[in-house]
Amino acid sequence: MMRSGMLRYARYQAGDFLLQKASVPAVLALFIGGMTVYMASRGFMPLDWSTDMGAANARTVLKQALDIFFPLAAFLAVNSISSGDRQHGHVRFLFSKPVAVPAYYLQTWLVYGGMLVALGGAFTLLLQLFTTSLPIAGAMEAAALTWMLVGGLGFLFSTLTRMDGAILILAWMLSSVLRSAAAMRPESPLPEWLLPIVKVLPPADRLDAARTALYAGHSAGSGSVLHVVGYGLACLVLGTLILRRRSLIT
Amino acid sequence: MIALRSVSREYRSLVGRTVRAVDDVSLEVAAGEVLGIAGPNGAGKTTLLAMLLGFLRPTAGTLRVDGMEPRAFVEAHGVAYVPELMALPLHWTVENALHRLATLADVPAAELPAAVDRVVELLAIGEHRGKRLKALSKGNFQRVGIAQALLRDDMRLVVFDEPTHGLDPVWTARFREIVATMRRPDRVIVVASHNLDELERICDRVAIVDRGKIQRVVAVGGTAGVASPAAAYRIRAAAGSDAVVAAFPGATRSTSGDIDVGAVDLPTLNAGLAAAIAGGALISTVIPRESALETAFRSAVGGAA
Repeated sequence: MMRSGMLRYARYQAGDFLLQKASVPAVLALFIGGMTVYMASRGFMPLDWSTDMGAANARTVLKQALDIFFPLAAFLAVNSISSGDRQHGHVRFLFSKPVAVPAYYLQTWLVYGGMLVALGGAFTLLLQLFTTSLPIAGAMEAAALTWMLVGGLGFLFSTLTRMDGAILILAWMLSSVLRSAAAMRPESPLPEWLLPIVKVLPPADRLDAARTALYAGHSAGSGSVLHVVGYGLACLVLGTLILRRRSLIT
Repeated sequence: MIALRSVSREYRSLVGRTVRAVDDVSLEVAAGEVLGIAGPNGAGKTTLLAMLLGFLRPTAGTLRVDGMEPRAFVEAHGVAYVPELMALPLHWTVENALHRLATLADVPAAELPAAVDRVVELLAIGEHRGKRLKALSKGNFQRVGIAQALLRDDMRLVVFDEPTHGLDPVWTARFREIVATMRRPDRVIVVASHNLDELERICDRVAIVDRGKIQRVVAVGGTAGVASPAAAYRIRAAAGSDAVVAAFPGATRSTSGDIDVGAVDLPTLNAGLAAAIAGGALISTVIPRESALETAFRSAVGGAA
């Protein structure tokens, strides 16, 4: 059973997310969204939010801003989520308290994910105030899917190594490059030896497709959602098992 | 309460080289006891404490705290722990750090402000409450480290790793008083330190660790006394120093005129003093040249320290 102290600690974890993890990508997203809306309102761009064209443009602004905010915030949030405490020695203070290590980091992961989803909704709502009706629920679902995949994979890497951030970027880039190559040239498939590697790499293409659909106000598609959520969940479970077994200091 | 049976811990490097940091250690510590751990750098003290706290698993042997795996014990009850390395996020303020750690320590929300106030007052860090940790001196940071360990006063296991490192003499003495008040029949206090004098003052027994093994366990507290068997003394005589030299075979005169007596036990010391006094000596001072613990330490680590 989780102790009440651990649950109460969630407010500190939420504060850490806001101050240390989300501030830079939020400023970037607000800058991009704000600049576009400002330019439109000053007549630099021929945008009338009430028309179909205006609504489509508003969704493009949303996509541009959130395509920066979600991946960047998710990466920053999950980077060093557990490896940082091991590296800096914080584990000696945190885990001499009556706290289960996997529970502590799972709670951190959940709080960060929840904050990301809430911020995604808040940002969309803010943009809506200056433009037109936007898919708030879709933006929040996109945030949740991004966190499931980026956050889940980052959580796993962080339990294994202090180089988790670099490995996460590498895995993500490799996945994007290989999957894009396969998609662009279906007539010449990838070499057979690469296929098992591609299969275990994160389904970045599925996430991109789901997010694009969601920003446009459509459904993400159950296939993409299941793939992304299943992959992220598997990483999370594996990471939790590793946290249960591994030494806290080396 | 603590039982180690043939506990070993090996580290393997990437190239396959194995280092045995703790080697076949067996030890029992009863509830109510204050155990010291002394040893030179790299002796295995910190690895031993890391296993006791469940941060590391032994590669061989068993370690139990109150019959439980150490990690299970810590997760169930918590440990009052002051690490050697004061590693907390430096942007936290003292107040914030104590509130966070009290929350994790499961101090009830209603009692938390009072618990923080109590340790702030105990460690006299009130004027630093609003400061960031990075703005603190080493000694004040160490006091915050001790304060966070005392946020709950019901911990049954207390572990201090070099607790007075960075503290000035006043706070070193104050720390000893705090440890004295922490003694409880159902609590074990473990103190690892390089400072033998400190261990001698606060512990019941001291385990001397070297090359990963417990070389010796020395009883130092209470009835064992400071001058247990085979301690050396320096004696100053206001008159009749020849009688003192005659009473202690092998005694030598120092350049200051004092008489250095080799390792003798308490009955031998008292018999010698009686003989010297009977022979006309007027004794003004008897000082242990080194404590029994120091003697045992030198003997156990072979001068490595």
